[in-house]
Amino acid sequence: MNVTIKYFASLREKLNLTEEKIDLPMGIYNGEQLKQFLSSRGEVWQQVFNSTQTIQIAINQLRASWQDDFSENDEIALFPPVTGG
Amino acid sequence: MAVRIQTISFDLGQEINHLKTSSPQVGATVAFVGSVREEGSLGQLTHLEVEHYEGMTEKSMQELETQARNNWSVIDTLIIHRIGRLSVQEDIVCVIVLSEHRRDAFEAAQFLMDSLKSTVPFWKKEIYMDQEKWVEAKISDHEAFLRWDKHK
Repeated sequence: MNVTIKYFASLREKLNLTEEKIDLPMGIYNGEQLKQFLSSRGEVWQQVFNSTQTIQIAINQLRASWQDDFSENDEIALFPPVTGG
Repeated sequence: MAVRIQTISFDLGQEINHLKTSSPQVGATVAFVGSVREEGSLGQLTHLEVEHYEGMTEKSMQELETQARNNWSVIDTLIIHRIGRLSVQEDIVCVIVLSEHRRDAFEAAQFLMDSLKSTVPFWKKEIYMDQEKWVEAKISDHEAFLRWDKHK
């Protein structure tokens, strides 16, 4: 399944990545599974996705839960709690 | 109803006058402006940097305006949020609500601001002379947002 993943704020800086287009491996259909997949990419990724820091997820620019299923060509965003205003 | 995200500053008086011109039934205007404080979590700031998620930010703010309109008797609203580099004392955000009577304007403005802080994808980074730090979300802000639960 092809998706775009966007990273924001402290996540973007720690991972040194703003956005990637990726063909997800079989078996990765939701955010929970995606987190596990991303944390297997190396030490920094493991630190980010296994840490106690809260990460939030949006799918196609709407807030989502980690259990929500992805669809082909979804835009998935991962970010820390927001701090505007 | 309108939302704007911009790097340049805004003139609150001008924005209010413009909104009122097209709405002669307005009897109450409430405006909130948030600015950069010099005292950051680690000491004296040089400036702030504000990042956002283009697209989702606008949609989230428009959704909040719709919720405000559904819950209060509101004539018009405007939310402006700045992004990029902001120096101490510069304005970051403004929320303006126009209504016939003050209570709707006060409550809707507070709802918009509390909700914006906890739901709209902006992130602030504090920049100091020799270090920088992402601002962390406050529990008190989230609690302020939760008390509007029945209005969502």
